[in-house]
Amino acid sequence: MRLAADAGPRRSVWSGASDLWRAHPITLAGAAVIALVALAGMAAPVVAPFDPLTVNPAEALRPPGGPHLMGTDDFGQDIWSRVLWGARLDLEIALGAVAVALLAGCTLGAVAGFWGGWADEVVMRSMDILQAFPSFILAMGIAAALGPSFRNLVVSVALINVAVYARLMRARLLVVKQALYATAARGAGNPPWRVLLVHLLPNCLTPIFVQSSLQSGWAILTAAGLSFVGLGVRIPEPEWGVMVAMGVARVTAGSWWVSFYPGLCIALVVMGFNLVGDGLQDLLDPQRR
Amino acid sequence: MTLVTFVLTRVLPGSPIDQIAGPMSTTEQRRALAAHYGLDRPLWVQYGAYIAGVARGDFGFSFTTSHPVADDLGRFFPATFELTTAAIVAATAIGIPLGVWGAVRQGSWVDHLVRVVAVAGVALPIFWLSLVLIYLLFSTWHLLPAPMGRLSLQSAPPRQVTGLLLIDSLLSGNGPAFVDAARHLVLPVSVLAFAAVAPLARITRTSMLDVLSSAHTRAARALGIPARRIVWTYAFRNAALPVLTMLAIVYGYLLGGSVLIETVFAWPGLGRYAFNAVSSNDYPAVQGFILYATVIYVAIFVIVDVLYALLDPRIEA
Amino acid sequence: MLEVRDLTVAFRSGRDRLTALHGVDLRIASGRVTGLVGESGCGKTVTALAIMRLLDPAAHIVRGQILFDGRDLLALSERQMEHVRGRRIAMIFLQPRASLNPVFPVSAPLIDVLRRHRGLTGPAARLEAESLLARVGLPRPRDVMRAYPHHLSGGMCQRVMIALALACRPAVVLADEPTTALDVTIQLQIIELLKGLQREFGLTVLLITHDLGLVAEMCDDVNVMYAGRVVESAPAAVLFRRPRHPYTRGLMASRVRRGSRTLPVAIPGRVPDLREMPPGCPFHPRCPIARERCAAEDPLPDAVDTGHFVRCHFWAEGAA
Repeated sequence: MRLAADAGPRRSVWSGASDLWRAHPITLAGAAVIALVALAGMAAPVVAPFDPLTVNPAEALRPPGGPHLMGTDDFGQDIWSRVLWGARLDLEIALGAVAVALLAGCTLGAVAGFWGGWADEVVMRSMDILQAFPSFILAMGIAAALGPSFRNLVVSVALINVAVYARLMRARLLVVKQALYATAARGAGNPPWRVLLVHLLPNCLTPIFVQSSLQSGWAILTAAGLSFVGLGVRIPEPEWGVMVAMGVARVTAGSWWVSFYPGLCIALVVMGFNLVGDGLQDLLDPQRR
Repeated sequence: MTLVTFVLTRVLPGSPIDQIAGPMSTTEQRRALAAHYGLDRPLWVQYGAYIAGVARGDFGFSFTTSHPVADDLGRFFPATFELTTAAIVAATAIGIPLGVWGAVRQGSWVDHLVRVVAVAGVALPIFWLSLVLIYLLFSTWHLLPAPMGRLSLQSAPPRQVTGLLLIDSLLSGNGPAFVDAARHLVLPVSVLAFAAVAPLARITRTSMLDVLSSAHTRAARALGIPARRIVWTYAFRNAALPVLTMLAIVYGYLLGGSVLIETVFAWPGLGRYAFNAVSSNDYPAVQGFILYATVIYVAIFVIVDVLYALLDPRIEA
Repeated sequence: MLEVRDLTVAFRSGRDRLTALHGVDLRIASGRVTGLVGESGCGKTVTALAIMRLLDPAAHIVRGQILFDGRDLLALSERQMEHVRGRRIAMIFLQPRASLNPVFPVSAPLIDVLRRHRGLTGPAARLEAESLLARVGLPRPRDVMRAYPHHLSGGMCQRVMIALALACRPAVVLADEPTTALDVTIQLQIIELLKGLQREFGLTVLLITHDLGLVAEMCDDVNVMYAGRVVESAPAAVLFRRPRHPYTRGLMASRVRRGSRTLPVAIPGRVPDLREMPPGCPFHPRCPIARERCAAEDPLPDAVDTGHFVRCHFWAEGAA
């Protein structure tokens, strides 16, 4: 019983896509969520019906409905608009943090693996120290030290994720080093950096993709959590964590929508990233269940 | 580790002196205060003094509460301990059997439930989940008490023995206090436990699946040993090791989560203490908290290492 | 005593369905050692696992029967099967150390089996366990009881596995390449042990191996497997003297024989991959006497003599 895939070169893009969908519906759903949120964030300036920062006390604490899809908060700001802008902000923070962590971590890991010796020791001990702290508490400490701002938030979240990439890179590099010595011994004439790239890249792309996806979800949660306690982005920025914090006092009074919608968005996006990360893991390492 | 903590907190922006002295103080008064707290000495001297103090058990004085930090830590510790311990116990009691069940009945509804829980538990922000549950269970349905600390205002607190309300109320035979404390614990523990169940169930399931497909499991089945015994006696021991490590990691996560949860539920524990300390640039308090959290975290890992050596005969202790 | 009829097993691999066994017929006579010979991948282990109903969940038994004790094992429930495994049919596996649970001492499964299948408990069970370990040739059984698998050598682990199989007092023992993973010197010892035990207890044994020499040593009856089918089945003496199937003949010719004048001749080509099974008779691309019919039709078992079966269209034409 063979697939249509083997039937010949006539296979259309659509049949390929639908095969993919049937095989991994959940992963694609996750990817769809992320894509949607990214689109919302990018389209925010155009799509948002209200300005996210305009204060309008007359409209304060309106329940969802009418012109305000998701209601308004204490200051009369439209929550739907702020959620849209928040998509932009939170995704920027998450992707920024992951990018920084990736670059820093991979570089450190590569250095440690390549040079070995005391460089390896220093880098690895530093990673050990970083990982000795419970991660959210470390992020709190760093964020508190640096002061609450967008840039510092990215840095804090990035720092707690560096270790993962460093270890990954270092492990890969140790493997590649063997290959390097082998080629050098044979005197094949290939410059070492070329061998490095050829052997290194294909090997590590897979786990980096998987990790980045999972880290992005975690980054959003940490950033939102830090902002919630006031250590990240501050009021009145439309960051989802801050928005939840703004609504805390209102929940018991009955205005649930102020905190509900932004938090829901956080949950959806993080779930999307996790599903994609898991799906990638299953896809690229078929022995896992 | 202490160095990192120290440097971090010293870099905190804003001067605590401003906070303590207030905006009306003169430069003279401020300088005097700085001298009093030793903040005018060079940084490395301050660090040396701090370490010496820590070795003696002296964590300095909190700027905001004016008590020794060590005392503060001790005072707020039981509340957090009760919370995190209850959460871990609940998460283990639910998460591990769930993971085992999901592995044994692969593809069944239990398996799917485990996966859904695993994804949801990790994705839902706990501060948000708390608010949702508070809204539903307190504001709307009035099933549970208000998120204001560990006991209702009307309740008489039990005689203090351990600081753990559940135990103290049992010890002093104070039934109503026990019920009240338990009711106040339900929501925060549930949220923390939910977040913890996810990774536990997941790793248990993965670990069990691995073991159940191993050569020795097959050999055991070939000997006619019944499935139940294989799963719970043999396979479980093999699968337990990675689960233990995850328990340690989860505990670290709960330590961080306690900050968020205690803020939402106005819980008088170390999490809220830390939050207040950070907001008011209370260096010693922040340092104390970070040190406490990290020491406990490291201690948990050490315990796990020891347990590993005990449980796995391949590790010659 | 145990008969396999037309057993066909398929696996789901990705989106393909691969057939591992095509209508396998096997007769394991009581009190005798039956050999199942073939190269790696021909389906020997799958057959044994199918008998024990221990196949991977991805495997699917398409059709067939396994008759034992007056019942079809394939029709039994899992709970009923748990009563058959061990007590009636026991199995010894290829990798002895991997078959023992590393976090338990060796005595654990042994005591468990004795308790479950023989109703022994406490000191009685421990005594019996020690005597079993001694019977399989392990020195200082009391120390072995307390040992963990990583403390024991491969040969010792295999002896433990044999002791475990014996502890159940089974009627049939399936031995899947019991010596392949061991050193050559140890192999001989284990073979001697197995022979002795078989004689002493009158065990019915299915010996799975790729080693024709071993078959010659131990087996009373032989079944030759190729590409998921039993292509020839005969008493050992007959098989070695007058093999009929071209594959069997090829195997014989490829052995290194002491004192022989001719060099061993390898069979040209390679065992086909499950995904690329040739049509008709699976051996025809490599067969010296293949004809048109062979590529079209998969041969069914043909009787050469009583107890001697061949799956070949033209077996009668080969020279002796």
